[in-house]
Amino acid sequence: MSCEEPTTSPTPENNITVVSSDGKEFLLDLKLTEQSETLARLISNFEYDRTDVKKDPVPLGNITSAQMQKIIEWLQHHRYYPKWEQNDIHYSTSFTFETWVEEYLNIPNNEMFELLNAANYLNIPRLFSTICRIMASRITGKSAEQIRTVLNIKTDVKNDVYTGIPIQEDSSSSEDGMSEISLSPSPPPI
Amino acid sequence: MVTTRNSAKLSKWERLPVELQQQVLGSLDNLDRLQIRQVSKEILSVSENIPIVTHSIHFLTTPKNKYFWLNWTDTEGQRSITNRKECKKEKNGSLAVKSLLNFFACRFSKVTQLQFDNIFEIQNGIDTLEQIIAEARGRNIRIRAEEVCLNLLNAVSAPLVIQFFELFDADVLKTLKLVDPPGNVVDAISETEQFRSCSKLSISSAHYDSTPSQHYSLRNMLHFVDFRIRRDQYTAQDLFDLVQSYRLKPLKKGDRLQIYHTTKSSTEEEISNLLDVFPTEPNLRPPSYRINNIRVIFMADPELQLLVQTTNNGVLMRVAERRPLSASLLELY
Repeated sequence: MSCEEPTTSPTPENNITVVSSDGKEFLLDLKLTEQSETLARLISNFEYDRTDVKKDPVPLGNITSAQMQKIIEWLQHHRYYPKWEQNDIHYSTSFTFETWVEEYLNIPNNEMFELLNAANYLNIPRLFSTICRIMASRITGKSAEQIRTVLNIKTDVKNDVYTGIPIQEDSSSSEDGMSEISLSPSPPPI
Repeated sequence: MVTTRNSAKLSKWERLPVELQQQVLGSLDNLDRLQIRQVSKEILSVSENIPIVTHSIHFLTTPKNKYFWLNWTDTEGQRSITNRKECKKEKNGSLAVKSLLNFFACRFSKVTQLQFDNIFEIQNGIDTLEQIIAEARGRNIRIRAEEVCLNLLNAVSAPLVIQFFELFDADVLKTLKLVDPPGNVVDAISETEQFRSCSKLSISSAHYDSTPSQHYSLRNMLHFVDFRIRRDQYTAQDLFDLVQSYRLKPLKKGDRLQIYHTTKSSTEEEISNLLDVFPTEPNLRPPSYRINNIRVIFMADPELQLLVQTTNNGVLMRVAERRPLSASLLELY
């Protein structure tokens, strides 16, 4: 899916200012903020969509300027996309992505994790779901051993005390943890 | 559109908050969700509350009944996973039991079809069943299956079958498919909440030639909207009760009841006299077709009609949309 992106420049009437955790200000078109449920609710509560209301800068203490830059890039690309539907089968079950998305998320893991956090904080469901699916696509169809490689889990094999199924014991797990896990559901081995 | 590079790693996964790990793992399909639970105890802990809704679970045994194992199939039926290898190593059946119950340990996990092979037919099947009952009770686990297919051939212990049935979540279970069930066992389980809450029932035979015909009490089955049943005898009163119950139910077009391979313990005349009590309307077919003895009976819903056909060895009732007869057909009556 792709949409044509007419160029528009924010004017004082149709934008708000957000401030990242490192103090950088971003002028954000109100149209873009519709994709963020957090910002949309804030704008609605403070009536920032009215031209006669003074708009104070919105501090986003959990988001760095680099992350904000990245998020604005996402919002602009999806500016004219149809409204997000939570159960849209196109998004919820597919591990196929637009080339633009592939390139957009071709970033180091720690940046992707931070972006997921930011998407969660700003409640941008399309971005959040896309990152989740990009990450899940690296796991799907793999054996348990292959998934351990993907997640870089280096552990010793022990038998689960409850199921008897060989299971990887994380080096960080305590004996208490084992006992708790032993009462939890365990899958059949493949 | 391109597919993402699924060879890429997700190192530093542990830095992601657990809630977000759950969201990522929740994006996987159901069989992958089963798979990830084996990766590590940490992942198991994170994923245990992610529900798995899979199409079918088959609890089956080897041809020589040496051990039980499970097969899971996804919604499309195109992908399945099994734990046969692990169960073969273990052999005492407990792994198959734990695997089955572990699936339902997450109270949001559900299966559309759950099938048990000849678990009642062999001693280690009975032992396995007792393990399932004891462990499910101990862990307070309910089996959430929309449809259960159970081979009850040689099931002699009605109390054991009742205990097993009571493990099912009555709010989820809708369809029963019983193979070769003894009549006394069906009568016994018909008292359970699980049986009473089901809307569909099928009783069939996998050993039609070698198993004796059974008698099932139709009065226990009046609540089903759709059933097929093989039964040895029915009386005119049984049939009357069925028709009476069926015509008053809130049914829909296509619902049906079928009793086949039956014998009647009442005469045709007795049956006919009782069914004549019901208000009928002309058959859509011309009178010359009435050799099949199809009655078109009014239902409580004026938009529907109940077609009741009795033959020498069966009864078929089907709900159809009510359609007025054409003038040319009416003239024939």
